[in-house]
Amino acid sequence: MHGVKAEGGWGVVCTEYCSVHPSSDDHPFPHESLWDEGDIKNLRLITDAVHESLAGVEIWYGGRSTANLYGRKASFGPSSLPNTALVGMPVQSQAMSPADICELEIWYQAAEGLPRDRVVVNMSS
Amino acid sequence: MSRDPKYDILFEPLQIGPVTTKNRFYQVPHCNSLGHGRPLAEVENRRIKAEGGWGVVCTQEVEIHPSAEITPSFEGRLWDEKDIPPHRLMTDAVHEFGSLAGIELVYGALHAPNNYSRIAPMSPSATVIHGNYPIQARAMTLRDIHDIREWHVNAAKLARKAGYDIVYVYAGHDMSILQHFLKPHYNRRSDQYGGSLENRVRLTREILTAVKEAVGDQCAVAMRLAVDELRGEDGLRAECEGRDIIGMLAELPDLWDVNVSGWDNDSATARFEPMEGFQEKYTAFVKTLTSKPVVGVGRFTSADAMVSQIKRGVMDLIGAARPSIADPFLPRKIEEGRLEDIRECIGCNICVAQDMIVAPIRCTQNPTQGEEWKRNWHPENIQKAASDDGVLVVGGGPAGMECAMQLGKRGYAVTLAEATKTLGGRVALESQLPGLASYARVRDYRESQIARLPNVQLYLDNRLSAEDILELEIRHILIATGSDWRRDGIGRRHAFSIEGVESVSVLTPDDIFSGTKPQGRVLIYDDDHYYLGGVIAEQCRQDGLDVHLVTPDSKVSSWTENTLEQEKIQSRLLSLGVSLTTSHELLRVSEGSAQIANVYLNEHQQEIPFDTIILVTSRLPADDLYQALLPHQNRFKTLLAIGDCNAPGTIAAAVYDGHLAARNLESEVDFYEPLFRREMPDLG
Repeated sequence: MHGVKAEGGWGVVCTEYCSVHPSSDDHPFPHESLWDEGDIKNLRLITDAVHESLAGVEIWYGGRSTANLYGRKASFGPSSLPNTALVGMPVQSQAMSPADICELEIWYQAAEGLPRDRVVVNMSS
Repeated sequence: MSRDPKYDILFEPLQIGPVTTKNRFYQVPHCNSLGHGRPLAEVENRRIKAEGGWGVVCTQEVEIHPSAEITPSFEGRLWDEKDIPPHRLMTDAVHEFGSLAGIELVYGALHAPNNYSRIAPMSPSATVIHGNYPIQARAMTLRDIHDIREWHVNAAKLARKAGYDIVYVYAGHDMSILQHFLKPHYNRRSDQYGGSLENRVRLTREILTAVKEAVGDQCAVAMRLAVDELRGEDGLRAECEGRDIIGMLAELPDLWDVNVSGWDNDSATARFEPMEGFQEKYTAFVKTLTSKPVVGVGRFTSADAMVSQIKRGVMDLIGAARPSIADPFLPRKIEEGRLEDIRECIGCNICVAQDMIVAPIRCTQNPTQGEEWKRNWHPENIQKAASDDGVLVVGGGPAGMECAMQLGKRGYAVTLAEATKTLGGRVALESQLPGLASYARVRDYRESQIARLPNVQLYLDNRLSAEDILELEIRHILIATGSDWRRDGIGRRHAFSIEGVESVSVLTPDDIFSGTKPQGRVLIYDDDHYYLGGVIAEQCRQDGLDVHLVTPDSKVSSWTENTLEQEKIQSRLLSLGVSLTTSHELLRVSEGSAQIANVYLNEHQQEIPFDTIILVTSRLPADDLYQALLPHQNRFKTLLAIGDCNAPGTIAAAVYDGHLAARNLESEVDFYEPLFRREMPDLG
C-alpha cells in the first residue's frame, strides 16, 4: 500500500502509529511496532517500497488510551484513571513512578535509535 | 490418591461412530480468539486440555470458505490445503494424550460480514445480516446450495487429512447457514428448501449425508443443533421444531451435540443461570429420540452433577466449554480423587468478553488461560523458589491470595497478612450482592489451597503499617491492598470532581459493602458501565426502595454487552421497576436533589430528587502503605504493588497480576522487558 502511494507521487509516505514498547499495544487493532530487531526486518519492506520518496514512522506510546489486550500490562498514565481505549476494558491505568517515566524516555530513544528516515513523535495521546 | 468408585462411570470409554473416546469429558467447540491469527497459542491452549484429561478436545468455529468469514475475529480457518499445517499441530498435540480431536466446520452466512474477502454474504433469502453492518445478504440459488454442500464435503476431507477424529455439522448459536435454513425468520423460500419443516431441514440432511459419505469411514460426524432459541413462538422451540428435527435426523449423525441458542443463552452467566445443568429442561428429550450418543452442556464443575446427568439418561458425554477454561485439568483431578483442587468456573464470561473484543482468551479463575504459549505458563506447574527468602504479601483479596498461593507452591516461606477478619477482599464483598454468589469461588479455591500449604502463614485481622513491615526484615514485599471507590464522581465521563458532591452525603459501593443501608428514593449514578451499578440497583429494589439509575451511556451496564449480559440486565432492571435515564450526565448535586443533563444536548436538563445518592464511577488505588514504603525501597529486594492497588481493574486482572508477580519473583525477567512471545510473520 505504501509503495503504491510513493508510486503515485507522494514525496513523504508515513506509517500508521508505531508502538515503541510492548507495554503499549493497541490490540486488537493492527498497528506497527518497533519493539525489537524482528520488527525492523518487517518495516524495512515499507521503506524499501517507498524508494525515492521519504518514509516516515510515527512512533507512539498509548498510555491510558490502550488497554494492552495482548500484553496484559496495566497501561501507564500520569494518574490512575479509567481506560479510554476504543475497544477497552473496565480497567484503570497505573500511575507512573519517576522510574517509570525514565524508562518511557529510554523506550522512545531506543525506537528512535533504530534505522530511520524520519521520526514523527505522536503527542496526541 | 485414586478416585471414588462412584465416579467410575465418567471414565468409561464410549464409541462414537468409527472412533472411541477414552472417557466422558468432552470439551465442546468454544472460541478463544487465538485461532488462525495465533496458531501456536491455539495449539498449546488445546494441548493443555488434552493433558488435563479431556477425552475429546474440539476446535472453535472453523470457517470453510472465504465467502463466509468473520474478520476481524480470529477463529479457525480451513479454506484449502494451505490451512492444514496448524490444524495438524493441534491434532498431534491432542493425540499425544490419547484424546480425540474434533473440528467444528462452519458456514457463517448471516453471521459472516466478509470484511476481508468482501464477497456479498449469502442467505436462504435476501435479508439483513447480523450486527449493524449496512449490508445485506443475497438469496441463494440452487447452484449456491450445491456449492455449500461441496464446500462442507471438501472441508471435511481436509479435516480428515489434518487428523481430526470428529467432524461437526453445525446448526447452532444462530451463527450457521444450516440454522438459518431451519428458521422461517430467514428462510422464505418457496422451493424444496423452504416452507415445511421437512423442506427447511433438507439442506442439513443432505450435508450430514454427504459428509458421512465422504469421511464417515474414519471420522465420527457430529451434529450440533440448537434445540431451543428461548424466544417462545418467535423462535425454534424444543417441544416443537427442536423435537421434530431430532426425530427426522435421529440416527443420521454419529453424535448429537445439543444446546440452546443464541450464544447469550448457551453461555448464560451465573448471574442469570446460577444452576449447573441449566439446559437440561430443554435438551433432556434428545436421548429419548435417538440411539446415538448425546453431549450437552450446563457449566458443570461438580463430579456428582456429571454422574447424575449420565445416570439419569440426560446425556452420555459431559460437555464443557467454560469449566474447561477455568480448569483444564478438571478430569484429571476427578480421576485422581483431588476434587478440592478443582478451580470452578464462576460464570462471569470474561472469557466471552475477550472473544467479543477480538483479544486472546483470559479467565478470572485461571490466570494461565491464553498464556500457555505466549508466556509458557502451565495451569498446574510453576517453577521452584530461587532462594530460601521469606515473602510478605499484604492483602488477602484476589491478587494477594493468588500471589501468596503461587509463591507457596513455588516453596517460598510466605506470610499473608489481611487487615480484616476474612479473606477474599472484593470478591467476598461483591458475592453478597444479587446474582454474584459464584464470585466467592475465587476466594474459596485459593483459601482451601492456602490452608493446605504449610509454608504459607495466614494472619487475619492484622493491619500492618509501614513501620511494622520495616521491622519484619522480610526482603520481598508485595502490596495487594485493593482500591476504594471515588466519592468525587471522577470517572469515564467526568475528568474532574462533580459540583456539590463534597457538600452532601454521598455513598459509594464501599458503603454498601460495609452495610450502610440506602434510604427512601435512591439515585444511582453509573459512570463505570460494568456490572456493579446495575447490581446495586437490583439490591436496592429487593430492599423495597424506589431506584433511579442515571448513566451517561445510551444503555445501562454497557460494557456487559461483551459478557452477553447487557440486554438481560436492562430487561431485569426494567421488570423490577427501576427507573432508567440513559444518555444523561450528573451536572451537580445539592441536598436532596441532583441536576442531570442530556449528553447530546446539554441544555436539556432535569432535577431528580433523592434521599440517597450512590456514585459508581471509578476507583482510587488504596496504596497508602505502598507509598509509605517506597522511600525505603532500598531495604527490600522486591517492593511491588499488585492488583487493584496498582491499577484498579477486573477481578481477572487482579488474579492475573498476582500470578504474574509470583512467577516473576526472583526470576531473571526484567520488569520492563517483554515478558511474552508474539506470533508474527517472518519477512526475512
